[in-house]
Amino acid sequence: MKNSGNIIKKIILSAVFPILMFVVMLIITASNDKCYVNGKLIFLSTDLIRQVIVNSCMTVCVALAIWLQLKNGRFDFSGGASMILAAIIAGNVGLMTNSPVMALLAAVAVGIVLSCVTAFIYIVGKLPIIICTIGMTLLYESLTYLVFGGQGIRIFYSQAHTSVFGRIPGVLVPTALAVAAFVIFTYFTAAGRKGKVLSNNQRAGVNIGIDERKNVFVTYIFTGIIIGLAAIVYVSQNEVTPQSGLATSGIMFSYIVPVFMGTFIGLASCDVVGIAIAAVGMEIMNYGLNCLNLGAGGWQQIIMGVFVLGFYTFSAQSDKIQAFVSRLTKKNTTAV
Amino acid sequence: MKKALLKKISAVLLAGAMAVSAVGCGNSGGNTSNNNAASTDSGTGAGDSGSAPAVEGKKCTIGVAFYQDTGLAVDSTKAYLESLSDTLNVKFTYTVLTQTDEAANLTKIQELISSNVDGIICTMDLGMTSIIQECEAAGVYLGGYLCDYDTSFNTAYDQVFKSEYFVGTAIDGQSPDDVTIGNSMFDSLIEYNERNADAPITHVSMAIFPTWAFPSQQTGADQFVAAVEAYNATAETPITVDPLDEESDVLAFAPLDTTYFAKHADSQAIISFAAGSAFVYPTMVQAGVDSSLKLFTTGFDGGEEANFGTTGNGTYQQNMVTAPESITYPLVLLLNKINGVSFPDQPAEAERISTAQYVINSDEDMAKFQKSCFYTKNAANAMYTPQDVLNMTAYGNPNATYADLKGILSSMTIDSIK
Amino acid sequence: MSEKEKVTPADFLKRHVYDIAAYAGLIVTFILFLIFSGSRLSYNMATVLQAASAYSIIALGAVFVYSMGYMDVSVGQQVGVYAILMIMITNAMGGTAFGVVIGFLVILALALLCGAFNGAVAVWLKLPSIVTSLFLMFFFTGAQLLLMESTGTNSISIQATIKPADRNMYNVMLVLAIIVVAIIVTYFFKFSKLGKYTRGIGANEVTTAQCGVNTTKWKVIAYMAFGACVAVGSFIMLTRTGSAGKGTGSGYAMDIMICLILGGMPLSGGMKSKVSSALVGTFTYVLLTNDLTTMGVDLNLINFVKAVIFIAIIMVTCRKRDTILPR
Repeated sequence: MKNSGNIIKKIILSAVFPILMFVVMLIITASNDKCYVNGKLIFLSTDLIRQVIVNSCMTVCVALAIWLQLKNGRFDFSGGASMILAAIIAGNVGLMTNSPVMALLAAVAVGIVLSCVTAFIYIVGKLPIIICTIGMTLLYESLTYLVFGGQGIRIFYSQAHTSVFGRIPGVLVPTALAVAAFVIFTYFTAAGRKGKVLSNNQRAGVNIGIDERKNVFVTYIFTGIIIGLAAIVYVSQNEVTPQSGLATSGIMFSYIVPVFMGTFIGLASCDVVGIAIAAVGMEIMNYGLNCLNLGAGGWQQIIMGVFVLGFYTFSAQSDKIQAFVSRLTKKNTTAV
Repeated sequence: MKKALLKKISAVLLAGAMAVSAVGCGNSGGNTSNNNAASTDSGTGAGDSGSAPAVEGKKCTIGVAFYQDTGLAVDSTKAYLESLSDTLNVKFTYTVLTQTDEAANLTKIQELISSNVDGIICTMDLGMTSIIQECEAAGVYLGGYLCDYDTSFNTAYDQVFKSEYFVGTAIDGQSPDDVTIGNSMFDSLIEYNERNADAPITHVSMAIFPTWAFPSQQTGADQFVAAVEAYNATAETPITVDPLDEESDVLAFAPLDTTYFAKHADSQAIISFAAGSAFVYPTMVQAGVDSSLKLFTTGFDGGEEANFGTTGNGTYQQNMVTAPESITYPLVLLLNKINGVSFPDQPAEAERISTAQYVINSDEDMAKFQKSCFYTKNAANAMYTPQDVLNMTAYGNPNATYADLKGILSSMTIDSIK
Repeated sequence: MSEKEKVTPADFLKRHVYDIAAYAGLIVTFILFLIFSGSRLSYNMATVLQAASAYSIIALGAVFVYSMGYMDVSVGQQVGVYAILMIMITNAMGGTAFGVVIGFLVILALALLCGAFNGAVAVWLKLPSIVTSLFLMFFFTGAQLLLMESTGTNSISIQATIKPADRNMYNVMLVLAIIVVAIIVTYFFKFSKLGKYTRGIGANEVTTAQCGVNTTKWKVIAYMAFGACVAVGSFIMLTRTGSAGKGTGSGYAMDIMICLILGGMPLSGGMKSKVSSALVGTFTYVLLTNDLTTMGVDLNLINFVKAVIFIAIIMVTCRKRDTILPR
């Protein structure tokens, strides 16, 4: 009883961010003439739910893939490139077979293969992870020019029957699978638990007999699954063209803010919930900015930058806040 | 000790591998594809015209700088050029420019010049004054393709158009002072209404790109509105055109994707002067209006045929593209310069010439279009054989004129597809 | 002395395998360059020089930052904004030489300010410096878009002459610029406290601080030194075309990182950081790109070949011997 009460409390605490964001954006848009079309406030149209859900799902998938590696102490640059390459292959497979399910399977398969290749090069090459994954990013990006005649994939997302995983309700399927993969790995596999040891103290972990190579490999398999799921959502929502010059890292970076925010928000509950909630909050902000016609172009970038800096500054003091939160919870538990 | 030896060996191997892999790729990548394409396609071409080249041009290399890596336009242009390679004695080499970075483009052009090209065909007008300076310094000629060189035309005419190293450009459609796209969109709409007399389109909205980037689109939109007004003066069922809304109709769809459709709730069709396949259609699908609204647009990226005319959802009712064969214009002018000859009626200053487009606005047109070099990426379907092109040059044919060459650009219509 | 005499060739190789690989890369690309440039060799040398000039100057400055184990992702957008600002200021002042000077001083001041921001704000707010540079990246991306929107065109050109009309003079100017910056950077990196402390910070920041070094102060100075190089590099880049637009400078941050890695710079910073990495890496990178074009490698294959070579080089230069996997 006490436990469930705590969980609810944690979730409510976590939900403060998107609610706050919603209220702030509502006030700003409602007071702006631009946000009324045919006399209606566009912020409160059905688009709000549609866009926030669809975009949050995309964000959650990518963010989980990034976070799974980051959590295990590795900053993987190549996630974006793997996703783009998987998306191109999956989209073309989907078009050829005329089946979104086949596309999903192809995306996951390619995601796993690419992740395993990255892990293989990392383990065999003994390269620092950032340098290794920069190399793999360049390699996967170059492959986007070589598969399917370097045409990328365009009409997959613009056809209603192929792009089911990019819209409501289909988009919820890959997202749920991604969350499941993350949760299974983190909480229900030995590799996930060993990974925690390794990320806290790598040398000690290896010394007590954890096979780090095997651990890295398993982690990458799960990352691959999530990347594949992110790829199917991505290709169902976007035209995917061949990429070069580490541009895919930019695509990945655009989803990284919720990762850090999510882990901070997740302090009050758990990281998956934190990331999901951060994603929803961010997408509410993006939607609000869209309504204000600041959703693209210069001002959006500047607002985003200020927001990121502000949030980090706030969360950098997280040790103090964490101490404060835990003091609060302690008081409550002792009171109960 | 062993480890050190291993390192040593691997270092040497690596250096060797780098050299071999790089050189190997150079041979297999560039040349074999050239040879294959050239031998198969030019064979058919020469067979068609049935005669051997009268005069062989100088052996030369021409670099083509595209505006993007891939896509139908790029691939079909490459296929067409490769088919000409043997007969014209030209080797083609390719690069890709960026759409926003002048310095990067200059480097790309310098690299082309370094690889010993004699001429360059450039699809973008960005950093052109510094590029033309490079060409002048290196004695390399430059021509344009799929580009109106509007920035250079208006701000650096003397440096670019008057340079003896610039041969002129074939525009992707009409030049800003020669716009006909509004009328042609209107004609397509009327044709549709005649075909569908029981359910004609009587209310349309428009979409354009920002004027600073594409000045001719605003002109085209104005022309379309004027044509509709003239038509309404006598028509039984007049057509309503929603005026361009600065916020939502100048792409991309601000503030929200769906705002466009909310603002134009009564519209039955979108007349998109902006590239509709890439920018309008996907948004229509996302908003779920692709079966209730028609789309008349420029551009064809591949796949549109599935929902064109009476096929599929029938969203597309018009597509419009420029034939890749229009590259013949700068190519012939470059070859003349390289061979040191010129047409008797060659103008003193370089020109920018409008190109007629494939206007596809019926199922029959689409069927025809699907046989074109553009769609099939096969040079056997091109409008001109290698021999034809050789005959257009001043050294290949003493009777060839500039007026004839210019004339081909206005003849590249849907009816000219073989 | 006697120890040095004992060094066997194998030991020497073992110790210098990274340098050897980095230089081998440069030599191989240079040999290919000589072979494939053919009759346009001297022209192509100028091409490589021009393409490498801005990169090498910025990469030289970046040595200070990378030797601390930090990186900067905002440099590309900074270059873009500085180039646009310089054009706007010069044109507003009638395209005079005075305008050019004022324009340069403004961007230099801005670059130093950004350097100070990256160094100081990160410390004050207890943020990793990548976050402040991420902020600057967002900020400058936005600023670049807004500045270009305000002009209403795709590309703006400077109305002053900022480049010698004679090509050879221009090339000499570029060589001199690279040499001067290289000498200054080498001096500060090798023979002054700045280099010593930045390497110290990269090797172990806590220890360096405990040795009585004011690490905050030196971080700020290192970032400002980088900023100065970015300003000079932006100007050099601008001299090439005299124009700038929305995409000017895009990709510079990543390109600089790749250059430094190719030159053997450890991304974790520390004592093994070298100034030569910047020059060796930049020229290897530029020569490689140039080689692939002059060799006529198929467009779609160029990136693949580059990636394979990059991975091959890092497999040799960056390999760690530890029992645990490096992070």
